[in-house]
Amino acid sequence: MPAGIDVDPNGPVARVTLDGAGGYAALADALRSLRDADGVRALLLSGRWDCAPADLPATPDGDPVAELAALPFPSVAWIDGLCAEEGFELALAADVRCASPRAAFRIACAAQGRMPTHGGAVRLARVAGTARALHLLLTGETLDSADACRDGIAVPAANAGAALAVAEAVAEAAPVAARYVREAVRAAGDLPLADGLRLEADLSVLLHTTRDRAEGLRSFAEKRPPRYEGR
Amino acid sequence: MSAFATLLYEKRDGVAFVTLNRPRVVNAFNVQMRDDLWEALAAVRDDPDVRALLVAGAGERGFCAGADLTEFGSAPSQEIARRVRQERDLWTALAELPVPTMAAMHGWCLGSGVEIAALCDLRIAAHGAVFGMPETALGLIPAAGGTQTLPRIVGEARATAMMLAGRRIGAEEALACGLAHWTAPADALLAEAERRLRAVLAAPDSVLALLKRAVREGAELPLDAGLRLERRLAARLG
Repeated sequence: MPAGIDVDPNGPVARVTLDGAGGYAALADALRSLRDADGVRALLLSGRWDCAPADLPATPDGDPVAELAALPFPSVAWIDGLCAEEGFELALAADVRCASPRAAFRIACAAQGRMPTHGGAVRLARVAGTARALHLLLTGETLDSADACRDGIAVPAANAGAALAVAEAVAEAAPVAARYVREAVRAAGDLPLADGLRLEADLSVLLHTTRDRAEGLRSFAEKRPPRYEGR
Repeated sequence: MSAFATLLYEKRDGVAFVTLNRPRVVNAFNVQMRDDLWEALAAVRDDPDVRALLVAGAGERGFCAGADLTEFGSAPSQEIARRVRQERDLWTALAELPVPTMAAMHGWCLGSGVEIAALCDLRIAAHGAVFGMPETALGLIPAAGGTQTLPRIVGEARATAMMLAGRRIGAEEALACGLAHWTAPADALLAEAERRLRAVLAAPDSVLALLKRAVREGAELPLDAGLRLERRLAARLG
């Protein structure tokens, strides 16, 4: 494994831990390798998020931010320190960000004469609203954990165990249902309400064809945990 | 008064009060309630005396604990299920009512309960109310508009955490993130809801209807088209 990254693809929650520059360089490949890993239902991405501009490569065959957004299962980012610049852009491509009380967020590229180039401006505006995104992007101010949670950028998690519990909860969802919810929520940012409602209804009806939907209802009636197969 | 099996419908001084009324099962939403609500919403829309709608839940335990899962799996076919959804598009009907709508939420507000409230214009939460979206853990997805309305109201990240990770939030967080506009003690919820809603009705009906359209339709348009819509609607008031 390359320096700076630790990948544990085993279990329903795959874990990738980043440790600085080398890790970011190897991240796209690591994420691609997880796509087809057996039994993986969620990703917990943790480690260092204070990425320097040069750390995060974006080549035609390896943009880790695009790879993260394109994973076929949901991702949870665990942030326990400063999450800045390209690291913040990367975190914004996760489905859920868990912030510890020590977490802080900053995207100060404008002051350095740069633009976000990994979707940070667009995703931040969608996640936190236009007004908040402009505030953070134009002033470069550092947002503390409580404010980030208030603004909907992250959800609070007291410690690593709490973040893992969030990833485990994601992994316990029926995989197809989780995928459809993610598709519908992302579409909510792109479609007029009427079209989004139609998409949700169609996905909901399509879900009737899955065995997991029947298993979910059966397990509820029998008051036992469901056993999902992902189909 | 009421002729519905699953709802109480009452009209008082211009406000229609619709109360989800299956308290034994925390007002779980079933097919009968869907049909009853469809007719109740038509009454609200077509009755010129109705100037606002207040939706609440009967009983101590909660506003609505979600869909009645005991009826799931009984759909005749996917094709029919889809057709029924399109023909009885309850959720668009609720969102597009021309009068102001408010949900008064107490206790358990899960799944469809959250979604019904999210389609209303205004929401008031009782202290101690709990909001959650348990669908994906049950092999389902929200299907009363939640995947579309919740991200618009509470933001994509919080909505995703609720729907994918089963995150529940309380009344205080609901207030902070826009899922509730106000909170109130549980025993004062309905009185407080009615007082807030009647305060809205100080404005003329025409203004309220146009304002609601400008906000709701404008949000779905590019900014320049939204601004044109607002000017066009405002011009109607003369």
